[in-house]
Amino acid sequence: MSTHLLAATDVRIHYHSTGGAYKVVDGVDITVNRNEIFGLAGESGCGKSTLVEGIMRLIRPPGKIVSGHAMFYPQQPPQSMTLHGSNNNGAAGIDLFQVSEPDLRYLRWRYISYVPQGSMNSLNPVMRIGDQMIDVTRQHSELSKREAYERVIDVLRIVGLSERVVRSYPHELSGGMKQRVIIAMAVTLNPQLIVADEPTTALDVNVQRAVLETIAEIKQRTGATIIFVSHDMAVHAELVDRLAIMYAGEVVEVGTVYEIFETPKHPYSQRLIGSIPQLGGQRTRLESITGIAPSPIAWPQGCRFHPRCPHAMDICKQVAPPAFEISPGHRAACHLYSEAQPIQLHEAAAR
Amino acid sequence: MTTTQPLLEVTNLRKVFTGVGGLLSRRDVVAVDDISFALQGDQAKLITIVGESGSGKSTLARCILGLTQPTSGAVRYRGQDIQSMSKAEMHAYRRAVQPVFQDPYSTYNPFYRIDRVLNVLVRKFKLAASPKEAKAQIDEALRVVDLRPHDVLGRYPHQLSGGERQRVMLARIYLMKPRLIIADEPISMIDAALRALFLNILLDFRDQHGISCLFITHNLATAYYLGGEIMVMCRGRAIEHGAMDDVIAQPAHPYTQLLLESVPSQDPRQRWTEKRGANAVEASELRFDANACVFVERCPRVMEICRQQRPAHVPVQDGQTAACFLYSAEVAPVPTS
Repeated sequence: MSTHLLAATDVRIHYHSTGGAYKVVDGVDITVNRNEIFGLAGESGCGKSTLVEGIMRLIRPPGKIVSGHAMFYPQQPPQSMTLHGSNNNGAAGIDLFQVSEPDLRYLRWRYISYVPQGSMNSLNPVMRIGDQMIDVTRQHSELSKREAYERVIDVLRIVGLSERVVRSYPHELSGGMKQRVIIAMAVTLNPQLIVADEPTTALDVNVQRAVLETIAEIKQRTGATIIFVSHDMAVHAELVDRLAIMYAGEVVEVGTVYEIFETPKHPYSQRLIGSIPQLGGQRTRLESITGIAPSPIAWPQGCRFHPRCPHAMDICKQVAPPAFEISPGHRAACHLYSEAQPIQLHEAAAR
Repeated sequence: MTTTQPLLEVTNLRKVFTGVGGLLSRRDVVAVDDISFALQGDQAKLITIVGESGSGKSTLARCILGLTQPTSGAVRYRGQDIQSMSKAEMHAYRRAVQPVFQDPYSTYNPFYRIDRVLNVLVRKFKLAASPKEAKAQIDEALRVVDLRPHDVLGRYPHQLSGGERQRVMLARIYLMKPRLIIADEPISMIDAALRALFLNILLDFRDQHGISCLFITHNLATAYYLGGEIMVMCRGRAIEHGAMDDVIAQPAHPYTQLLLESVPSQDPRQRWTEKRGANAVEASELRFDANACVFVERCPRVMEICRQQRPAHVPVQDGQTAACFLYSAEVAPVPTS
């Protein structure tokens, strides 16, 4: 059995406004295993970026983590920290939603690193790449300047960049090279978890391929676990091991990449996969998801997908479906599968 | 009489931006380099231009729309050069050739409701005889693009999602009944599920309403879905041109082959098996030399002549041409040792 590295349960992140609460992430459970690439997919506004920002504890007012736990079970957790609970293998964990700011700062980069959306454009334009990387490395570790420099050269090699890059300024690099520098930065301190939010968006296909290969390489060579957020299903098919599909602030389906692409169960997942154009072969008219995306200030009653669902039944309008287990590890929150065993995720994971 | 004349004909179009860059690094950028193609007017057609960022595809679109003045070459609409059109002819051209841009937000005035975009159009081009007829036409146009009129009318642009805004643009186009749509990356800012809808609307426009389309994208899977013809651009040049199915099944130019290999397979059981690694090509990294092939530095099959001459388009198979010496009769490819 694979060991859990991260278990987020009942995560709710709301943005408060005068008009009411925007329930952007509204009761999400995800479990990420050690040394896997876990994909988060869904359309814009489904809450996938907010969820990872929440896990990184980067939500700022008016946003607020209203409830939930984000249990992180690292190998060799920092000794000074209070540990809570344990994972499926008995390892003790840290609740990222409860740790103090100084502890959080200790965890960042050393244990968990984060590549936010569009971060390749946040490199300092008047500082050489090497200096920026050494800076970050030394801020978060006790390495000497010399050691940090050597580490930087190492990670640049892992992402396929030459040593020359350390003396370059950001404007001398292309988009794909900058993105690889950012990924290299994220791995300098050998974190156990890397969270990458849309790292290939806005890159050309050739460059996208290089970045995807880099991420796969990092998983292999460093043994890190990666949470990979993207709206692009084709990219998930190419890279991830397991995948969660989000819709309207909730996870509607989770399974291995094969389960999701070959036997998608939730009508939303089915439509999402049915709407990707294929390159080559028979042309069939693509399905689209009609209707209007719901608003986080007033999610539909019952199942949030029912107004756009071709299989909507009466129960869907009233009762929000729990996650049903289709096969071990493959779950879908849809009343079509109500004969399957509903799982009480919150209790199981909060233990 | 117009059946023999192409609807749109682009001949030897060139656009050079002079003095780009800082004071010390001033240089000329050839954004569009000697592009020629024609869109026959006998029946509605789709042609897709594929290229990476910096390949000049947007500049080409702007030249065709008359928004950018080409350095040389001509854009002809039904045989008439758009540069020499009178005011009235230009008005007619602007009606017959409609653009759809990448960012559906920047095309709206945020102070006006969505209704105005459609109402002004009906009034300005005198599409309806009475307000009642205008309303009926607008409702019909919105339904064609799968929007419910009461969902969008009366709302402001910021209240609509990207996909909805882009569909209102299509409703606007439907009202105009143009001959040709120039769509520049229209779906890169809308969600996957709505992309399919948008593409299907374009196909319906072609098949049911006789509206041709010049579609510009960097996404090869999208291009393939639309079918028709494809032209691949790289650093301002057209390097391959042909029927979509032929080019995708048997890409001739090494650059096209490389592009196709980089498209994610969409099947988790058919992932890339070999690593491309550091050889990944970024179009913007390629050096530009007017007297060489644009792809010399990265081409796996580069020959001596590729560095000395610019390859002309040569036929590869029925209707498919590539600007590559590998297919040139005079220059037989040297077997690799």
